[in-house]
Amino acid sequence: MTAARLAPLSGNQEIVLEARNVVKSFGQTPALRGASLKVRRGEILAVMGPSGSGKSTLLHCLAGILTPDDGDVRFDGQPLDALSEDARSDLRRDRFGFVFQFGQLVPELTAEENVAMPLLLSGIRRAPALAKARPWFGRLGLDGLERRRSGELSGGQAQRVALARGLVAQPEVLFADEPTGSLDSMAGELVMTLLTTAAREYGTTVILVTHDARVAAYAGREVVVRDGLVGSLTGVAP
Amino acid sequence: MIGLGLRLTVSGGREAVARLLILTAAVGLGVGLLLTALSAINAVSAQNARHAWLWTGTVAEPAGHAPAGTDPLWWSIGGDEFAGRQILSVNVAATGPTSPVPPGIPRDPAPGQYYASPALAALIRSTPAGELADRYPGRMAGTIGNAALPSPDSLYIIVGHTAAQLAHAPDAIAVTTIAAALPGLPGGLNPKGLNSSPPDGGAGAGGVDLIFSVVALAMLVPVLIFIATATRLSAARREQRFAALRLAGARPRQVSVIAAVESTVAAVIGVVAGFGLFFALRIPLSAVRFTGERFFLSDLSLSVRDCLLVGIGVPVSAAVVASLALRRVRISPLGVARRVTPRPPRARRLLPLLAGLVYIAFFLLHGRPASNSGQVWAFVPGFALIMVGLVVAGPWLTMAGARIMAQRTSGAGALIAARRLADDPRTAFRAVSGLVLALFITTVAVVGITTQDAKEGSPIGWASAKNVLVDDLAVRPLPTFVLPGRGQPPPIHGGVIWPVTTPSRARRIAPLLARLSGIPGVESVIAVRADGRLTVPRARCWAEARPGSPRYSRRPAPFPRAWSRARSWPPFPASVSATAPPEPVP
Repeated sequence: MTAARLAPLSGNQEIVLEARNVVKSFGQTPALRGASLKVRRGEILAVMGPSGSGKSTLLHCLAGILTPDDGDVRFDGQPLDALSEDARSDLRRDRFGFVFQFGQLVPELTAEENVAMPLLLSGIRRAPALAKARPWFGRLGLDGLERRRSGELSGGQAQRVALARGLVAQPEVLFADEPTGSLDSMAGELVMTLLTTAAREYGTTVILVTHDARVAAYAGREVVVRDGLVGSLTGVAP
Repeated sequence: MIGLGLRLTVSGGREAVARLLILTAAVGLGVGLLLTALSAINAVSAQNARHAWLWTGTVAEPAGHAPAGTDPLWWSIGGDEFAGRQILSVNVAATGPTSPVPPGIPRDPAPGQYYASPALAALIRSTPAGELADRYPGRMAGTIGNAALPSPDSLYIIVGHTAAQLAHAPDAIAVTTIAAALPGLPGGLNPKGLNSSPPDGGAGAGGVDLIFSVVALAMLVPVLIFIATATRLSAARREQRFAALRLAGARPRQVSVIAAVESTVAAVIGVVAGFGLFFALRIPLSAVRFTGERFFLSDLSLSVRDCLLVGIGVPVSAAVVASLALRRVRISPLGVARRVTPRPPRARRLLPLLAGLVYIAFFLLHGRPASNSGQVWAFVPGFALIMVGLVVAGPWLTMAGARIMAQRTSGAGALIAARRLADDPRTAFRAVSGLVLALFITTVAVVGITTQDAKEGSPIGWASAKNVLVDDLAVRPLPTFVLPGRGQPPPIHGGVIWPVTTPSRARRIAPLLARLSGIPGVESVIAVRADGRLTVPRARCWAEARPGSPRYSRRPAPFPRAWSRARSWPPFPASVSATAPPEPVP
C-alpha cells in the first residue's frame, strides 16, 4: 500500500459524505455500533472488513438505503434521515450511482434499457435516454451487446453494464458493494480498471466495499470495519 | 412509467407470460362468476316481476287507478295440477271493449276460448284429452307470450267466460286494472280485493335474491385474493426486479405504477375473458332451476351499470390489490429484507370470526326478520364478518394446527413442513386464503340454494309437501294454508282428509271437498287447518290475515318445532289413511 492511500483525511478537503456514530441493528443482531466516517469529494475509498463486520450495512446507510437506528448520515451537510422517501429516491437517481454484486439489472430489459433506466426514471424520454446510454457501451468495451438481456451476458459483461448504469447520470458518488465478488480475477480487474478510470475522469467519489485486498488496491484510501466500528489501517481516525 | 410497465409485462420472457396468463385466468374466472351471479339476481327479479299480474284483484295489490270509462273485467284465479305440476288458470270475462287485457295476449279471450302458455299448450297436445284438455272447455285461441310467464316451463291458462258465469262465481272480482307490480310491504293495499293469494305468486324469490346478493358480494373477495395470490407468483424474481428499479432511483409510487400496470393489463384481458365465460355459462345457467323454474335466456342479462361496475371496478380493484400485495417490496431498494422470524399471530385474531358466528347464531336462535330486506341486512353483515374472520383467524389456526402436527409427527418431512408453517403461518395461509373463502362461499350458496329450491312450490317448506295441491278455490271463509289436525281421516279417492279442528268448519268445507274431488284428474284432496302460529311465506300470511286484523303479524311466528322434526309427510295419497299424521301443534 502506498503512503498516499494511507493518508488520513486532512482538514481542508471538502467532505461530501459523513457518518456520525451510526448504530444499526437487525432484530437482536447489531451491525453497526457507532460507526463514524468522512468521505472526501472525488476520492476513491475502500471499505474493508471480514464477512459480517457491517461494511455493507455502512454503505447502505451512507447511500440512504437504510436508516440508522441512532447517529446520522450527512450528504453535502444535509442529514439523509431528514429526507422523505421520495427525496432519497431522487438522490439515488440523480446524484448517486450503484454497482452491487448481484441483482441490479432488470432481466426483462435489454442492456441499453438497463443503462438508460436512471434517465428514464428521471423523466427523460426513451430515445434521448437510449442515445445518452449507448456511448457507455463503447467506453466499457460492450459494443454489440446493447440489445442483449442480462441473461445473455457473462458475469463480467453484466457488471460492466451495471457500471454503465451507475455512471450514466454522472453521479457525484458511486457506491460499489463487492463489484467483482462474482467475477474471475481477469474480469474483476477489467471492471475495477474501468470503474476507477471513469470515476477519475468524471471526478466521481467512489465508496468501494470489498474484502479483497487486490480490489482495495484500486482505492486512494482504505478504512476497515470491525464489529460495527470503523477504523483506519494506520489507526488514525477515519 | 406506464410504458415501462407495459414493456415489463409483455416482454418479460416465458415466466412473465405465464404469470400474466395465470393472473388473467384468475381474473377471468372471478369476473365470469361475478357476472353470472349478477345476471342471476337480475333474472330472479325479472322472473318475479312477471308474477305481478297474477296478484290482480287481491288485497295485496295496491289500489290502482283505471282510466275513466274502463269496462270492468271479471277476474278469478285458481290452481290445478297435472302429473305433479302446477297449472295456474285465470278465468276472465270482459264486459266491454275497454276491459283490461292481461299481459302476453292480444285481447281478452271470448267465452269458449282460452290462451295457454307454450308449455301447457304442448302438454295439452301431447296428453289424451280426457286427462287434461277436457278441463278447459272451448278452443285454444293462441298462446300466452313471455311477458306473462315467469318461466318457459310455466303452465298458465287464461280462460274466457261470460260475465254472467263469473259474476256468480265465488272469489271472482271485477277489476279495472291489471296489477303491474308485485305486492310491497303492508300499507296502501286494496281493502276491497280478494283475501287470497295466487297459487304461483312468486313468493320466495326474495330468498333467492338474498342468496345471490351474498354470493355476488362474497365473490368479490376470492376474486381479489386470487389476484393478490397470482400477483405474488414468482415473487422473488419480481422483488428483485423492483428492488433494482428502486436502487436505480425509482420512487415507491413509480414502482406502484409499474406493478399496477401489469395487474391492470391482466385484469383488462381477464375482464374480456370473464364476459366470454359469462356468455358461455348463460345457456346452461338458464336451465338451472334456482327458483324452482327455469329462466328465460333473456332474463339472464346485465344492466349497463353491472357491466360498468365489473368492467371498471375489477381492473381498478386488481391494480389496488396488486399494489398492496407488493407494498413491502416498494419500501426496500435492497429487495427482500433480512429474514427474521415474524412474531406469531395472537389468539385475538379469532375474535372477528367468533363475533360473526355469534351474530348469525343470534338470528338463528331468536328468529330472523320477516321481510327479505330485513334478512339481507341481518345476514349479509354476519356472513361478511365471518369471511373477514376466516381471513384474519386463518394464520392463527394454521399456526395452531402446525404446532400440533409438529408435536405428533414422526416423519422428517412432515416435521420440517410443520415447523415452517408454524414459523410463518401468515405467508402459508395467504396462499390458500382465497380457496378457503371460495369453499365457504360455495358451501353457503349451495346450502342456501338447495334449501330454497326445496321450499319452492311448497307453502310450508317440506319437500314431500310438493305432492300436495294447495288451492284456495272458493274457500273464502277458510284461509289458504292449513295443517293436519287430529282424528281419523276419512278417505276420498284413495287420499285423505285430516279433519279440521272445529266441526263447524268441517261442515262448511264438506261440499267444497266433494266438488273438488269430482274434478277430472283429482285423485285426492287434503284440507289443512289454518294456524296463525305457522311460518309461511309472507304473501301467504297477508292472504290469510289482513293487515290490522288480530291475527296479522309482519313477522310470522316460528314453525312448530314438533312439525319441523317430521322430516317427511306420509306418502300421498295411497297409504296415508292408515298412517298417523305428524304430531300437530300442542
